[in-house]
Amino acid sequence: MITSYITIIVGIVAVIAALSTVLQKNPVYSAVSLIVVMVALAVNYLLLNAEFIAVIQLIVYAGAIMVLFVFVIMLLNLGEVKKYKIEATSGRIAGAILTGLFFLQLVVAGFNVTANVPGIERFFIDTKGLDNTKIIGHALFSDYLLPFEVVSIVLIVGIIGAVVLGKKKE
Amino acid sequence: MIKPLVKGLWITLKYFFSKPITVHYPEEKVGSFPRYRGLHIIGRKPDGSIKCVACGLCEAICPAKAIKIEIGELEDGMRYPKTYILDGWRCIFCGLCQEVCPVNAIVLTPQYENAAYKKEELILDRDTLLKRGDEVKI
Amino acid sequence: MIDWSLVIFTFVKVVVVFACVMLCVAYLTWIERKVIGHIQIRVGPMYAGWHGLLQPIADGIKLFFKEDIIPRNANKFLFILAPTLSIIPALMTFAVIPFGDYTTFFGLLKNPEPMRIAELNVGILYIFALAGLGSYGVVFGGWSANNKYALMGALRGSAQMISYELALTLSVIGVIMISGSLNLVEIVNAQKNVWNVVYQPVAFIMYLICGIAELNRTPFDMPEAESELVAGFHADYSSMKFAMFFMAEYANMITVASLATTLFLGGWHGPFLPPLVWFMIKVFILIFFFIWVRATYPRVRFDQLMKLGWKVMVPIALANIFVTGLVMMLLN
Repeated sequence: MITSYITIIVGIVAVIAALSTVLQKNPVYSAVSLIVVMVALAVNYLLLNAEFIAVIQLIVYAGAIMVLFVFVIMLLNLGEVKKYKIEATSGRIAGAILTGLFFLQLVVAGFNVTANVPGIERFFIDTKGLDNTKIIGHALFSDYLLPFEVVSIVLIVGIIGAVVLGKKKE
Repeated sequence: MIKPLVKGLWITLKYFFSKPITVHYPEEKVGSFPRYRGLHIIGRKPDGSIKCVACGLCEAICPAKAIKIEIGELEDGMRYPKTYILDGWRCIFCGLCQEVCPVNAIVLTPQYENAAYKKEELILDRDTLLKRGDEVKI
Repeated sequence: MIDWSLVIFTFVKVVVVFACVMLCVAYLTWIERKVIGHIQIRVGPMYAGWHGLLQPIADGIKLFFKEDIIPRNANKFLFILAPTLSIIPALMTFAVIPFGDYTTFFGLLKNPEPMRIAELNVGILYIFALAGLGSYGVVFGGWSANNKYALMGALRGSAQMISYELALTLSVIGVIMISGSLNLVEIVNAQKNVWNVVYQPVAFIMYLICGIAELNRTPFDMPEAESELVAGFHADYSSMKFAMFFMAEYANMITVASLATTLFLGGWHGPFLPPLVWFMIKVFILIFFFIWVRATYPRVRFDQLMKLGWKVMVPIALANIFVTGLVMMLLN
């Protein structure tokens, strides 16, 4: 019972912080809000008994990526964002409609969590005597080996791209 | 690269176990050397009167202008300092007054603890200097 | 239903651990001054209490009553938030550190009670996650003061912490591979006979180097660097805010030492003495080592620091993981 209340409170915090990320004028405050979102999400993972994901969320997003964001914002010393008008181009309208539909889909799915998705049993894993980390490890190195390797190749490509872009021209 | 790092650690560890050389100042004192130039005294003649003959040489030579003398004269024509003011705050302890004094009246002592709470404490007049002469060992 | 005895026990343990950590933090300042003093053939604090034993309390009272200054051009919100952000993660790490095995406190309790606040399946990762969050204190503290020295300190601090966190985490992976768990208690129990430092000497040395870098202590104290950056990120802080940065630094020192004890030195295991005593002895030997290193080496240059982190530490850590895996595969 208590956990579900905490889930709701943390969820509300996450939503408010996410809104504040978008609406803040000072980029540093936006970054702070984004950190709050990350931490709130980690807490929610923890409440879902997914402690490995929660901790990795903290290490990767809150601990590393957001520090880099803050680092860049501080180095560039960005001031407050000026107000500007958003023109309603056709692309933006289409984007808004698609976003709305996606949100609607999420809401519908959220209210129908008990809906029986055919074939979902295939993704269930026997968790007897295993903790969270081991389940993820087994899944990554057996059923999802190919996607896992593909992701690592994509990441390596990203790293090499960053090195090439960051290298000084001689 | 590793050897010098380990050597450094070894040296600091050796010093960690050696006896500290700290002198706990107010309780322990190292004292000063005999020729240290500290705060002055004025000596007395064997009959107890002041040695100083108020020649004014110390006043003249003092580079910090720390000495002020007012000359007085006894009935027998001997000169003596009516007032003799030594400003311990202005004094730079060069010792020129001692060197120039023809009768060895003013002498710098090895006393080095010359801190004072009040300014007046280090502005020494004739009688204070004489009294210090009786008290302070040279 | 809520198990009230569990709640009460946990609460008591939290309070006891918090009090002990704060006491250790206070007395670490005294130990550091004493040890560095003796290494420099001085005596350190002597006058407040017997051999200066009351010095931390005197310092605490002094800091408590000092004027709390906030610079006019500072970002007030982040300036106040930063010390908190740095001390909270530092204290939260003690939740998972196993100080000892089950104990009945000399027969006082009916059921043996574990000497730790929580047993988390991902204990190591939890500590690293909090260490990562701790860097925000440095970053925001430096930026919000609106002072160029503080900003330089903050930028150096964040760069250094990100780089060395990577090497620190990689150096620990060998231990995790040997014990087959992320749970600190299981890692300690796996070292009952042989300490991990025997299997992983390279990883242990790397952990110590990266740990000192992560703590921002000399010779890697770039964010503070008194001689060039005044005091780095906490140059503008005074009073209790300054004290909070310091408490966080010393609490982190205890955390790094405790984690090294847990991962490499067999935790509470040891002959004759009670487990808690063994744990404390090991932790304080490591802390002495940190202070000893601080008293010995000069500060490295910032580019050398980065070079050491990325070009020496990370490759060695990866090689260590590879060799460990290879040996484990060959033995099994």
